[in-house]
This record gives sequence, structure tokens and C-alpha cells, in this order.
Amino acid sequence: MAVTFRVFRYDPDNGKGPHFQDYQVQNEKGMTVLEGIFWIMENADPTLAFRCACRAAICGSDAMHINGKYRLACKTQIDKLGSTITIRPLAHLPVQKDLVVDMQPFFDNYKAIKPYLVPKEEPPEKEYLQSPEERRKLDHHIDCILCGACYGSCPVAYGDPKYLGPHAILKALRFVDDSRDGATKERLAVVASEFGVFRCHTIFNCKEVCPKDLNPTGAITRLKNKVLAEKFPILKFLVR
Amino acid sequence: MNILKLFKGTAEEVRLNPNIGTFSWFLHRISGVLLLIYLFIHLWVLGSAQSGTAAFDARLRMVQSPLFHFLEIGLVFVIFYHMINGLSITVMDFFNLSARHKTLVTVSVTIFAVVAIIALSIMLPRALHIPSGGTHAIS
Ligand code: SF4
Ligand code: FES
Repeated sequence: MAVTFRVFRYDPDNGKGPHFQDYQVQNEKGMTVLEGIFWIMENADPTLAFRCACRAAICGSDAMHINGKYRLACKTQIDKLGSTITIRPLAHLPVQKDLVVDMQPFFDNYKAIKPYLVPKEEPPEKEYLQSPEERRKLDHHIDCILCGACYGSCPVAYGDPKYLGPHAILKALRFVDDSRDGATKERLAVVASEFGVFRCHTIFNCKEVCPKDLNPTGAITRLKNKVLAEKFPILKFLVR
Repeated sequence: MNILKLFKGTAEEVRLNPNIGTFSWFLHRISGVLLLIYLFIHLWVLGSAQSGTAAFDARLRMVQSPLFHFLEIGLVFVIFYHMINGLSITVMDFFNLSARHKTLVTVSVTIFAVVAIIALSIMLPRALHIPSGGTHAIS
């Protein structure tokens, strides 16, 4: 069955401005949207630009807006989408060409929360020990593949490019929850800033779109309570 | 950012993310702005009390028209929406209920429906000048 791919096109050099272009793609059983885009590039229009790498929902480079939702093109089957598939690039990031956006602001925000382990004490001689319970606490956050779907879907990120974004805040909690990490205070200070957790309007789009079924809204909520409990110890009971 | 661009961008956000959360956020903003506008009208009426009884009475009479009675019904809806949505977000935040936000939405919508029906049953007859049984019998 042929489906119509309505793809967002923009090339700063050809003067045409942003527009949509239709392609007819022959769908086969099990075919993903990414495979459809590849088909277009190989057979219909080699000028189409897009990003991808793993084709297995793990590198996070092909998040885009596909029929009403931000998703990974490689994790979305054409069969589930009907006869017209409209594809747009991630929002809230400058479009460089077609479906390729400049991820720099996204990663700048990410870097602000120090996305790496800051050891609490002198590193041990061998490895860090962590109990299974302590490790289990990280289960809720570590699957993030930094695809940017959450950031694209967040109306607060639309309103203010300086807003840290769900991805960065989720990562902040990942280290705050880590028994080996010693930079909780600094991280809480960053997320408590003007552009941090209190900017969140609790819209839940990030949770809705996350291809890894994570809950960035929940991470923001928990960090809000942690920040409060640090300022006002009487509110410690809020922290879970 | 100019205001027109802001409106267009916000509409685009809603269009691209048709989720329950986007709608409730959008309505929350709209209801917030409407409440602000109401506040000014409210103060405009109350403020006239400073210029004496006659002025105050005149303004009060102005807002006793059927139009204002209908607007009042809208006002009650807006207040309840803004209040219940705000409370449900606060509860969600403090008790870490993010994993169950759809249940919370269902509960909020139910509460809103109940208070809306009660408000309508009281206010609609008044707006339509249908005297309610009890008071009419007494007067
Ligand atoms: S939290 Fe989910 S949607 Fe956001 S960047 Fe990570 S994997 Fe993507
Ligand atoms: S290509 Fe790697 S996540 Fe889709």
C-alpha cells in the first residue's frame, strides 16, 4: 500500500523558505517511518536531510514530530499511522536543513546540570560499591537517550530557550539520587534557579512523548520537593 | 517577543501536542487572564463607592442586567476551573502523584462538572428571571 509522506523541507540556501513536500512511499509490513525516509532519500529525493544512526531506538538522533506526536522515526511503524504521514523537525531548536535541527541549545542546558558523577570522597581503590537498593533508585532515569522529544514537546521550552528542559532536569535527579555522587547541593542550586524546576507548568507532554517511557515531569516534581526541603527542613516529609 | 507571535506560537504548541496536559495548561492561562480582567471590572464597580451612594448604586444597577448575569455564570466557571486545576497540580506536586496524573484529571473534571451543575441550577434561573420557588412564595 502506498502512503503519502508529507515532509517538512527547509534549505537556507535555496530561498524557498519552509514548506511541506509530498512523497509516495510503498509501505511493506513492518516498515518504520525511518525506513520510509531512507527510501525517499535513496529513490526520490537525495537532497532530503535527516539524522539517524542506530535504527534501533537507542542513539536518540531521529526524534521528530510524526502525526501529532514527537517520536523516534525508527521506533514508529508506518502501519500504525494511516495513509498520510506528516513529519516535522523537533521544535524549539533552530532548523539547519529539513529535519535536521541544531541541538546546541539542548546540550548547553544539559551541561548546566553537570551531567557526570562528582565523587563524594576520594575514589576507592577498586570500584564504587552500591547496594542493589541504591542502584534500583536510578532505574527511573538512566534509560534517557537524549533524543530531545521531551524538549520539543514542552511549551515552556517554547516560551524560554533558557529553560533547562525535561532532559536536563531528569539527568540532574539521576545524579542527586546516586549514592556515589557528592554534588547534590550544586545541582539543586542549578535546578532551583530562575530557569529550573519552578518554571515547569506541569503539562506532562514530556512524559507523554518519551520513547523510553520515562517520567521527566515526575523528576521535576521530586526535585521541587527536594529544593523546598533543603530550604525549609520542616518540609522534609515531602521528599520521597 | 511580540504578542501576535506569542499567540501564534502558543496555538502551534497546542496543535502539535494534542494532550490532556496541553489543553489544561492552555485553559489555565486563558482563565488566569480572564480572572485578571474580571478583577479590574470588580474594582471599577467597588471603587465607585468612594464617590458616594448614588454613584455606587448606579454602577451596581449596571451590572444587574441579564448580560452581566450570564457573564457571572461564565465567571463562576472560570474561577472553578482555575481553582480546581491549580489545586490538582499542587496536590500532584506535593505528593509525587505524577505517575497518576490522568486519574487526577478525571477527579478534577468530575468535581468541576458537579460544581458547574450546582452553579448553573442556582444562577441560570436568576439570569433568565425565573423566580425560584422558595423566595417567590415568601415575598
Ligand atoms: S527523557 Fe525521554 S524524551 Fe527526553 S531526551 Fe530522554 S529519552 Fe528523549
Ligand atoms: S536511529 Fe537511533 S534512535 Fe532512531
